Amino acid sequence: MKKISWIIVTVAVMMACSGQSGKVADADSQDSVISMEVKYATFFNVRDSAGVRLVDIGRKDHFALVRSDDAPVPEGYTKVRVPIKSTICMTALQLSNFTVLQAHDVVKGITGTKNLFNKDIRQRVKDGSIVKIGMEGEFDTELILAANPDVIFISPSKRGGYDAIKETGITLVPHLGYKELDPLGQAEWVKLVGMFIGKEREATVLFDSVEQRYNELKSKVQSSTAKDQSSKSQNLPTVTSGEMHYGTWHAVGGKNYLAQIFRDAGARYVIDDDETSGENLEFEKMYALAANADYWRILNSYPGDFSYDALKASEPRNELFKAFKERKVIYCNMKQQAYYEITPVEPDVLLKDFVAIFHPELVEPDYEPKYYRLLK
Amino acid sequence: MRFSKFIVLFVSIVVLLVLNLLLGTVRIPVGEILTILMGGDAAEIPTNIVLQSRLPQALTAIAAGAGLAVSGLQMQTVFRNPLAGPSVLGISNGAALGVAFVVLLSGQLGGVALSRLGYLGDAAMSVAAVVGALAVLMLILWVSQRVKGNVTLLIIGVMIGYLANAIIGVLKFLSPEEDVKAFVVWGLGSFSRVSGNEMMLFVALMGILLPLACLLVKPMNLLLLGDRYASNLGLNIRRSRMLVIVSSGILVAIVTAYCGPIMFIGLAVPHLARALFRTSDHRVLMPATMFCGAALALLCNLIARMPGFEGALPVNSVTALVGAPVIATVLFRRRKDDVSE
Repeated sequence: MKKISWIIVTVAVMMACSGQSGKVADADSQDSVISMEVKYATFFNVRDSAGVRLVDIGRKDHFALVRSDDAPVPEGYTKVRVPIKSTICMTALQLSNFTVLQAHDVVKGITGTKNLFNKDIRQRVKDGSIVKIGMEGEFDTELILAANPDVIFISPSKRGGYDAIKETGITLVPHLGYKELDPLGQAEWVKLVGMFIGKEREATVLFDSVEQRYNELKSKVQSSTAKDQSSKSQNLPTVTSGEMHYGTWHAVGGKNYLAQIFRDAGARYVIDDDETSGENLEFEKMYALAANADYWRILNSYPGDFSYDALKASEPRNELFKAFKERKVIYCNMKQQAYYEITPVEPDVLLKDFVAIFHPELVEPDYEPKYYRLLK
Repeated sequence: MRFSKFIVLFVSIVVLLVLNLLLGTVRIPVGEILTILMGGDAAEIPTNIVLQSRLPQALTAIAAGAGLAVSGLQMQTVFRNPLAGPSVLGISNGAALGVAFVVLLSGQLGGVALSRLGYLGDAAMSVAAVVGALAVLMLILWVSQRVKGNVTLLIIGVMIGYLANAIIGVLKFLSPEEDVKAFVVWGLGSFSRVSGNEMMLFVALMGILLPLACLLVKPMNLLLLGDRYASNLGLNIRRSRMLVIVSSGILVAIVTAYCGPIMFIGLAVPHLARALFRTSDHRVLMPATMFCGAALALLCNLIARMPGFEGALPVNSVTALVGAPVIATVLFRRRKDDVSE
């Protein structure tokens, strides 16, 4: 490994000196550095320039991943020496990237362990090799400094509190996977993490297989429902999502990545708007949209076994929905099943779970769903 | 003259109630709504929207608005302080603390969040809110028996409120984000939480408690004169002070349990009623406050759900946004009249 990185460094320096604009990836295609192509993700991009890997994240953040400290870095780019040896994760989505790359040893801090199932991470938290730095907005700066990570992956949608960390001088890398509207786009962020921790080959292989499984099933669904989709007939099953809490209905928008999975699984999502994240709707609005939906997807944390009785007890009007009456609630309990910490890198499994419900004839008869199943 | 004002108020409540039933994010033809209200045959979805969503919401708004307004009037009278309101004695903070314990702390202990315990469900929150509010109320009463001055009692009440808030802050800090969010959403306040049997129970409770509060009209009038005059007139100051505080506290506790903490109405509506009726006689003020409270709550509920806003605005923002200018205008105009008279 040391030898490899030495070769890379040499090649990079030589190329930089001679001013050639060759691709570094060609030189060491045998190593874990491979040329990187971003296919689905829209919030990060990768270019190789003069032996330096340039990564643009969003519009404002630009990083130059270098393998030696004296590598030239273009203006406007923040230099990051890779592979990084330690980092702090802010969200379950980021953590899923490390989990699937088997790189928990790089993670030195996380925000919390609520609803976290991964035994390895829990063990590491217990023995102190991963610290809990506190919630967004209330980070414990001392713990962060003590962990001394090379970079910190942040999630700018959250409550913030990053200014205090910025003061410490640690490089903050925004992980914008949550912004992706395409499930595969979200999964593709594993490549970004792979580049930072020197596991790009593994990341690419992993993503390619997810992509293949996802697209295979998606096209299977499309060809079998082609007639229904083209004629806009009402034959496609309809699905609604979310629950009412304290007077408002929490639903995901029509452009949310979950809505995309519904569509790819051959169902029509009742909300057809341009909202990308969650939205709060009034009961009457949601009821008018969803009263006759065939299926109703619910994800929550419920102690014990969730049931139709429990669903009705939480809000008496829930029984007015057709999916409730016909016992077609699609359910996943985050108290019993790891969810956010792993689904971002398994959109193919999510898709298959939904296809198994919407179009059971398209999956093998003995398919055992991992996340979602019909509530009994 | 006063009678005609009551008629106007009553008519405006009826009009607002009808508007609340007619308008909403989903468009339903007026004719269909009338059919539904007459118990006629109509499609299932509009029927459910009107009877299970709009009607309960409007009735809840009426009951909650009236309850909070009366509670505020009682507090202002007992403490002879125009800035007093239901939240001033820390009673609503007590309710919030109760809910915080259920939503935030129970999740930490044994990993079982009470708030999601099926049949207990949201009922656990209501119970917690009532228990929290009554606990603070008991504390206040205990103090009120030992403290002479109203101002001291008021300050102690405010301190209890701060204390409750501080504990909530610590609980929030210790809790995972998801639970904190649930608590924040509860704190927004809403008239649309209750439906079905719960709504019936709430309206029935208010239907009993509000008339009971009216029984206190006489001692309240005397309290207004000041402690010395009142006791000269044969009033047992401590006892009546306690009764009024209990009545006010229970009203707030129950409204908060069902709707979350609704701000502003309790503080502002008594002023509106005083300005409209130009009296401090509680025989007039009590029903006037009740009517104004109900009307203002209906108006706010209507505005919060105006078509065009995607989803309902939080009621708490609307109460102050709509209420503050309305009440300021009324007070301002009265001041001008006073000058010209």
